[in-house]
Amino acid sequence: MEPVLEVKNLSVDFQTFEGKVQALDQVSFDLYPGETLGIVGESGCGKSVTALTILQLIAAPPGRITQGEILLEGMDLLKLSGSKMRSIRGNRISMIFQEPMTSLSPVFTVGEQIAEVFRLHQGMSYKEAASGSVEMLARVNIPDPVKAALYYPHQMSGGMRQRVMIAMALACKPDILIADEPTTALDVTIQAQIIDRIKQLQNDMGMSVIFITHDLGVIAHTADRVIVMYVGRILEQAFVEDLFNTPLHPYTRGLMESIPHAGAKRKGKKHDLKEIKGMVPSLLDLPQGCKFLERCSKAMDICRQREPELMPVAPGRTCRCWLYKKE
Amino acid sequence: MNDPILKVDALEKRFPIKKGILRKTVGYVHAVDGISFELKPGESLGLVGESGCGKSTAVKSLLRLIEPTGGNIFFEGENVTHSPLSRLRKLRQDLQIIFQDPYSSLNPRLKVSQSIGEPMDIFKTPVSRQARKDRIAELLERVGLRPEFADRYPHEFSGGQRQRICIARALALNPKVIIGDEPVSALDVSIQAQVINLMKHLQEEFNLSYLIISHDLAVIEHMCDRICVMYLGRFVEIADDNEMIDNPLHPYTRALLSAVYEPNPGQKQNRTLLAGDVPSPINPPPGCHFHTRCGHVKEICRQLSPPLTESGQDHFVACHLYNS
Repeated sequence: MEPVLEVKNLSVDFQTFEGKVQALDQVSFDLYPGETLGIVGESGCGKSVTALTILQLIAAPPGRITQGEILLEGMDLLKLSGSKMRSIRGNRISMIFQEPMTSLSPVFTVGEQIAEVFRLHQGMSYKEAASGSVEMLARVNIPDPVKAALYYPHQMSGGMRQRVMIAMALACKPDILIADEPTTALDVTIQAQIIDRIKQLQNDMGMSVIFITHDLGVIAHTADRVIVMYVGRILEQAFVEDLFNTPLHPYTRGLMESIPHAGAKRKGKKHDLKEIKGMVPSLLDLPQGCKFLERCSKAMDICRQREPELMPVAPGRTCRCWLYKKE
Repeated sequence: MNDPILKVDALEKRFPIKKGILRKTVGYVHAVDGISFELKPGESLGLVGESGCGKSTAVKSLLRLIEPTGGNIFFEGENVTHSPLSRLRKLRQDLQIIFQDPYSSLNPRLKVSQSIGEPMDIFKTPVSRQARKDRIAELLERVGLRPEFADRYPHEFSGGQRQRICIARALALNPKVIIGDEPVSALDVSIQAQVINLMKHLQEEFNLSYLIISHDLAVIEHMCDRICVMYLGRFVEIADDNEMIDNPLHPYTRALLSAVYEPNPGQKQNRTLLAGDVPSPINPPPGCHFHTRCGHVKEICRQLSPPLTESGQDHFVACHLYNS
């Protein structure tokens, strides 16, 4: 199967007061039709920058794409003009953000904001667009959508607003939906509703989803394949079952062991959580060699000298660690 | 020894809603609607609930950082609900709080040593300057930071380190009770585990009692011995940690548990998805607050609020299903 989106060797720099930081370092991945690709990592690992770069929403300056290609069915998005890119954004690739509070305009009703998408990308009349937006609101399970279309965002709860964001993102039946921490700001019971809804709509429309989150639990139940990122690099990439059953990279393993499980205490009463020592290094001051070196319990001599490549370790599985270097 | 160190009886906090030029009170937000619990020495008690359920208001009003509008608070047997400020100050030596956001709870203009030293200055505990300095160094070491960090400013630290500084500050006066209002929610996964472990070790070392608030059931279950589940200002269930996970009774607790995403992709989870949102605490539904989202709703639930009744050993639940 041909991938719908190919990201190749994507590198992004940001110029800051303290110096230049490399937010993404040669990130490559493919996204296949209909699949959900999860991107996990801690804050500052570059997962959001990846999403924003695909849509070319990073501010330049200070941001700069130094190399790489982003191919949407073979067409390099980085070579498109501004207006061409606008016709893709929100139409073929759309995005939902973490903060449903700030990503809707407070001065338009939600109905108008969804209708704008239809008018812009599909040239619908006001009337068609209005009925289209009511239909979209119904699809994301908003009760009484005719009335809800006339609400302003402040009249809705966080969960409702996130549904409106989803309705807006899916209005043009995009090929790709990028969801950047879509449920992080929401309560657990609402999170379950939203994830359930995204999954169903994905099945109905057959789109591909890039699901970005820091929550391993959410990734386990939404993604088909997972990318683990750390300081702007991909450390491991695997199918979701493989990743959770046999995490290879010491960082991935550390992350899995450091999360508390409900009900796990019974088995070994009052145990400590395993922790990853130290903290994420500053992008301004990355260590030589492997970037996880200082926090790794399995660090070897070679790790200090050279940074490992992302190497294939099994079918459909890559890992950036010297432990898995085949002789 | 088994006398509760902190006892809260029917604590209530209502915020008036004022409207018009005369600021007439037109209604109330029932943030905390009569909750009662006891905290025993050395115990950790967890409070879980979704945003807006009143868990933060509950701890703030029991510390009297905001004044409760009803109920009683007992600290070591003494009723402190209406104690004057002078008495409260003394009390706050023993009752310390750690907030969720380590970025906003440290003064950016104060050095770490000043932030940690401030409670000592207020209560004039170490008399000499050297003693104060030593104590700060000792506290920093205890929370896993280097003593020379004392001369730095908060912006030089990461979120996890700042939370450690907040913990050191809370420990400065040798408190008996530490209240943690979402102490690890703002931290990254790998740092979260470090702080949870640190807090557990400190608890054993200093025999602290913890009252931990979180929206994350897994964190609460890991840190606490007893769990209270809160919904719209009321407790719906109180039980020991294992009992709560193995045998949740209240439909809300069940929904909350089933909404947790376990990091295990093979495991098919049977989710009971709750429909709708949490109702507004301005006009909470009559009867059981949960009846608008409950799958087992009966006629009585719409009219009568169920009391918290014992149903099994130390397991309390407020639901008409178990009230026959």
